[in-house]
Amino acid sequence: MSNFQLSEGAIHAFETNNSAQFPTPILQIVTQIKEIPSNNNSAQKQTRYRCVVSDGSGIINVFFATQLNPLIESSQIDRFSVLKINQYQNQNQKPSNFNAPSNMNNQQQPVQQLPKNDYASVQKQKPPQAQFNNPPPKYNSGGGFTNVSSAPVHSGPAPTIFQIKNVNPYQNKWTIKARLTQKSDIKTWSNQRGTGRLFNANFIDESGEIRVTGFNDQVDQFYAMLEVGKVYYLSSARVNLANSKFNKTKNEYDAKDDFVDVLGVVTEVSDLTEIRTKATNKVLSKRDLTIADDSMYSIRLTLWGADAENFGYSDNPVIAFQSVKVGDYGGRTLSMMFNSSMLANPDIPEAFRLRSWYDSTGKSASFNSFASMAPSGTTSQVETAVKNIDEIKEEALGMGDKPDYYTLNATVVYIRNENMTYPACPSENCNKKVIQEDGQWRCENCQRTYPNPDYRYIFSVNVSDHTGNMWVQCFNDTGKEIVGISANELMDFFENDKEKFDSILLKANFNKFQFRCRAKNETYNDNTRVKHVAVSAHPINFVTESKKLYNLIDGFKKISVQ
Amino acid sequence: MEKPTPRINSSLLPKYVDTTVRIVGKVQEHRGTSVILQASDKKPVTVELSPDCQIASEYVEIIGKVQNDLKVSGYSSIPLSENFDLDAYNGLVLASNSNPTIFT
Amino acid sequence: MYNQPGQNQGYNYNAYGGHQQSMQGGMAYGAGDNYGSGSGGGFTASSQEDKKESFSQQTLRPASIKQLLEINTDNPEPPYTINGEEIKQVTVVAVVRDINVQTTMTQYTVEDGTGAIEVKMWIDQNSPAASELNVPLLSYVKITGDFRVYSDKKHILAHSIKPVTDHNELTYHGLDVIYASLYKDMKNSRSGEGSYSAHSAANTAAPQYKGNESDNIRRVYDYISNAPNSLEGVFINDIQKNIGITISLEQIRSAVNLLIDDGFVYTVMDEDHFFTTNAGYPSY
Repeated sequence: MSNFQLSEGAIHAFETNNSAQFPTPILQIVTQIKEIPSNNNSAQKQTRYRCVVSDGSGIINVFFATQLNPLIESSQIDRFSVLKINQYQNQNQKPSNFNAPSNMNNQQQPVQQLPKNDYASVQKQKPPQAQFNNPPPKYNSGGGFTNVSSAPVHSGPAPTIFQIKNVNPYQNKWTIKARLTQKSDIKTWSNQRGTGRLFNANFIDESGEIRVTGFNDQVDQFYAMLEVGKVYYLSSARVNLANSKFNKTKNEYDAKDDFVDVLGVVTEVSDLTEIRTKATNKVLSKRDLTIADDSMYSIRLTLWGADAENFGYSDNPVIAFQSVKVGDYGGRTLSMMFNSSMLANPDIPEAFRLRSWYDSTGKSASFNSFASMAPSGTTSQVETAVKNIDEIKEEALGMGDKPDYYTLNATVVYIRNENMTYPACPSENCNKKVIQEDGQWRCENCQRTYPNPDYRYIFSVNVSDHTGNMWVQCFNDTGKEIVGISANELMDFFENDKEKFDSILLKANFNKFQFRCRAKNETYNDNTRVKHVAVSAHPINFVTESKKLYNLIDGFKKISVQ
Repeated sequence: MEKPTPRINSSLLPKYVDTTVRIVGKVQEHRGTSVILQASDKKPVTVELSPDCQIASEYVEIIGKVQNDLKVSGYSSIPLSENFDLDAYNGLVLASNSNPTIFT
Repeated sequence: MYNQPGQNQGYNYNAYGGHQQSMQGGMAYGAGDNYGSGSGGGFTASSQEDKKESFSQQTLRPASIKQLLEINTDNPEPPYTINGEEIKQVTVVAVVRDINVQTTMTQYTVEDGTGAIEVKMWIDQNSPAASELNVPLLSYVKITGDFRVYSDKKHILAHSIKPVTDHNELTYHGLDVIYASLYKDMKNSRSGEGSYSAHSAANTAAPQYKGNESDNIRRVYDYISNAPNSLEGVFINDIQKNIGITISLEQIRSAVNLLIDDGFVYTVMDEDHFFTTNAGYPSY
């Protein structure tokens, strides 16, 4: 099977009245071929077919001449077929208006026809110009892996190994040698067009990641044999689509000591700080950046020394970092090392793309973060969508089968002060309520008694924003943030200095926090209600939130000052 | 005091000549009876001090009247916290000037 | 020009409705544990008629003083509105220009660059809490309280006055005021002509998802499936704009990715444009 080359630029030529430049363009059908619904009024006698074709950088609507109907109806011309158009008519040139139908009549046999059974559906980093469809699963053919073998055993001469980053839709035969990093469950579907199965697998080599989908028979052939962590040769005759879900900054693999290259937009810059290194007892400058990209993930990246001191970029630059170290302190982090390098606003298409993404949507987006509030080793906390109180109610958060998580900026307007605490077991990780017995406190869980309990917060607050108010339950951490002192200290005042107790609660009211909440359905005495629990509460970061508000306002009604 | 005092930056001075305004800035230079502030658009503004309008902090909010020469004659001043973010504040200047019915 | 602080010690405050008890819901000074008791959160204002108000709808509105002064009080009774939206509890960030202390109530005059207004707060000078109150003259404070009208005069009955220590709060509040004012229009423009169909049962090819993301996925699928057809596919931004619920781009993208995985949706001219797998083409 020889390589084919699409006539890139042909569609632009059609649209700009320059069809003569491409007398016999080679184009690929990228959508299903559809029958044109017949018009009762028209004199249309024969069925006519149409579809969308691509030249690798643009797409256009085409109709087929009726002479080609037999080929279409027998599926010899089908979606993904590559056609050499020997004769066509171009009607209706309206440049850059995809809705203007252009009429191309294909009069001759196509030159190249790829066998349908022999392709893998592949998703990878999208090259800037290409526009390809993500095909639905083929219902009547196997698609997927044609040749998967475990490295290093293979027969015959070694195939040319591609780097994953070079796999592209124009070269229909490639082999990669990559490690399987993830294998999804087998998914099945059933709809009016048929039934099928598929599974997804992520492979990685030193150049990048790629996602491969195996359909139907390929599930039987390959699913069981593929083991996460092992390296395979994977080859295929066909590459189909470009759906960018991956980015190098999203670390799917457990690589603690790896170095990576990343390209991201700087969303936050911390102040310069100094630390004393334990090893040498020297003072070292440090500055943390948060970078993000349109995989909707953000990650902390630490600069040291001169890089930290001299970091003077403002306005959220796009920066290319090379050879930064991946670490896992407090989640997953990146760090500049002595042989790392960085280049702000590099002159590459990917940087321009990130720039325009950020300026249009990224700057007001919420990102999933690799930073965890918990000590490293525990699962990282994912940022959740910011909601107003009316949205929480309208969207019925918490009413589904699974709990919903959200972020809410709201002011505490009422603290329900009856029984704000409960006496808890002082032993580590127990927290169960203890019962008083003869002046001692007994924990049923630990089967022990203690002279004093450890008081922990449990109380409800009513919070309000400009769209409404709602009740939120607080436990120990959130309670402490709101009240300002520990439950033990508060109980102490409650028992010994009522005035101080009152004053503390007075001051605690009417403060605004950023709450991370969990909404969950709970049934209590035949009553099912949504309960909102504040998992955490932090004072509002006025600078960050101001910028977000500015973007929201600007996004809705462009801010301009004459 | 009842009259609104629009929040402005240096670029907006010409628009508000002869108006009492509010301008926030970072002290760049003391010049005896006047001070040069860097306004939130990073451009300078000269404020003429008065007994009620003195500068004792790095970031300050000045209420004063814009003169023909675009200097501001200071009536009163309020010190602002050290961590004041001029960029974020400039967002307020622009947004409030863009939505005047709410503020002036 | 700006006044020198007055120190009026006389008892010439208006006999303010003769309220003797402290405010419920607001943490009134010297009020003991009177935080507005009652189960379910008895957050109410002091007077009886206010208790009739539907508490469940009450909001906390960041406002400029100008907005408060422009509230129409031809009818001096509540409800009061700003741009048609009912308000009661408000937040204002302003400079204290004058303080007038009386035995049980203190009156402040504050201005925020958009206007000036009176703020009253019940403070019993004989209570220990009074000495703890820190409202410095000529500096910014954050006031939370109810908008009130008395004898044709507008004022705020404060539940709390807190000094501003981080002046970025000024910036935040100003932008929050604008955001709150534009919010209703923002929401209306998002629920456009929402052409998605909620009757996915009729569409037998519609994916059946369970779980709390199912709503989003179903709605996104329905929207793409029913949207006016185009050559390039349904644009993700249009989904967000017209789908009729508040949904972020990343939520849409996450729903679309799931649909793509399962073969119900595919990308067309780029990864922001979609078709469903049994979608039609532009009709004539």
